[in-house]
Amino acid sequence: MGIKFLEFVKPFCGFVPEVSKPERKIQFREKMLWTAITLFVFLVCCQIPLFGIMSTDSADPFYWLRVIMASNRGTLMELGISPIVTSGLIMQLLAGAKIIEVGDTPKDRALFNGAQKLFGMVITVGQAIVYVMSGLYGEPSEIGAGICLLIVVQLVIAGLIVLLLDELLQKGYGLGSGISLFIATNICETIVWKAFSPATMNTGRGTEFEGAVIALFHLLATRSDKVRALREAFYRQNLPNLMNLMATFLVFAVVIYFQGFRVDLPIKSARYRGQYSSYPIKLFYTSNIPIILQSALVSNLYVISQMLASKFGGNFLINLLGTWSDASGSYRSYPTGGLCYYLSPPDTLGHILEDPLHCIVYIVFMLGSCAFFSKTWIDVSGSSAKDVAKQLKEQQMVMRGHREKSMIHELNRYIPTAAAFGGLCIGALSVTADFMGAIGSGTGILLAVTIIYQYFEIFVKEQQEMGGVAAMFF
Amino acid sequence: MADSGRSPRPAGNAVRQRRGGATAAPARARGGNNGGLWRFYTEDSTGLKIGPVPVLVMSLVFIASVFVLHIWGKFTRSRA
Repeated sequence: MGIKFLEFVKPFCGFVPEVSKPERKIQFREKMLWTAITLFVFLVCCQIPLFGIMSTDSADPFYWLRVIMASNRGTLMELGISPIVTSGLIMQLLAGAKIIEVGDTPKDRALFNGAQKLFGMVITVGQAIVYVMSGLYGEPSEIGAGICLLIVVQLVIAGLIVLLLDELLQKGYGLGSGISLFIATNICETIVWKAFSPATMNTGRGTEFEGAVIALFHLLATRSDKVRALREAFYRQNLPNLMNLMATFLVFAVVIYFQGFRVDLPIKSARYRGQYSSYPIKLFYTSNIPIILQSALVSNLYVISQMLASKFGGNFLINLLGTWSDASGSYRSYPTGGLCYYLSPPDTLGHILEDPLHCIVYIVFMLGSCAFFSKTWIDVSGSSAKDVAKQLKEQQMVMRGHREKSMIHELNRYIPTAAAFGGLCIGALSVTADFMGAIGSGTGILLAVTIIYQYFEIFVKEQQEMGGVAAMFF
Repeated sequence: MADSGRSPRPAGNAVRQRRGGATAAPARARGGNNGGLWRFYTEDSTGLKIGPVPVLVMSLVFIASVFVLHIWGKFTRSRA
């Protein structure tokens, strides 16, 4: 059945548009330009509202998905990168589980990639239709069939553009990949907004600014009791405060510090004597993958649970999955019971004392799932000990003091441990960030930091090739 | 004679390789294992080939057309 599936999709893959590979080497400045253009298009798409929508007032069932999917409600980026990520995850997991047989030949790999993209487009169309039909933008009968179709077309074209922009960057016209660029941008935007937002809110004690830093100066300037003003700026509950901001920066620093942890395995060339080098195995061997997989799983669970709860609320099984409250005046609903409640982060530190069971279940689940996903991912993505040994053999490198056979054994001592422990650390950091109330949720911050760090590594590499910072820009 | 002429060359090669390899190898190795999830479309697949500029033009045209739709929508709604 495996090979047959790829053969089956082959004729359809011809219709999938694809960015051609650059024929010449793209200069660093040109890469920067393309990256900037891509980002610009994405940001513009994030701001333009969809044409023809009636209302977006109801509680947002996709609130939990927004962070990792880089999507913005009611705009052209409503779907964001979710079709790409979903199709990628499903196809890679299917290939990893050997349900779809993918050979090692370039032709097979190409076909698999084409199938992945095709599947992504099918998901885009499906999601667009479901969004419109489920009345997310107002009752379909009120909007009218023509406008409904128009909304679907807009969503589909926007999805196609995101797919092409991502491919544009990956094929070597730009830096990194579109997916990670969009996620990081979205999260950094949130953090900057929460810190410097000039929007005012009317709380019980007079108007306050939403942005934490602006609120500090405003409170210091207007309140007569400066000590109380400071305490208010640092600890206010309903709006982002300075403690949240400081927690965010602390998590940033800690994650970057951890990125440096690694084991260097000594390797040498099999062909030339005296050519020594090292193969680094990082603590964060799988980088941000466990957190992405874990949050994709949980957010999909949330969405399903919310939809079920709104349709068949009161059923015993559905209540077991999760019960939801629509807190008035907020954009999202909170889980108040069932499985979803125990998998969601506690809101405040005080809440931990009220319901220690919730807290314990949450921590165990986060750490366990991150370690598990990290460990399975190395097999799926082709970075397990066997693959690394093969890769080293192709480069004609061997480990010092080991023969080829024992190399796999030696690598196996480090790689699964690094993957599992690294996943555990990522999970723990995410939990800590959530408890400290870091802005943009623990998951979001970890994603942003790891992506930014990857970009930093790309910059360093390009710089080495170009020879100096000055050569990069002039 | 031919033997003695050939022998210095491999040795020189090895020295050059050693110097180059020491810096190049770690970078190559590091690139291999991070961002595995984001390497979806690196290989060429079998589809309609388009360049990067058409992609840009397409997205700008799309954005412009949605703009026009909004303006047109405002216009007709205010009349009705």
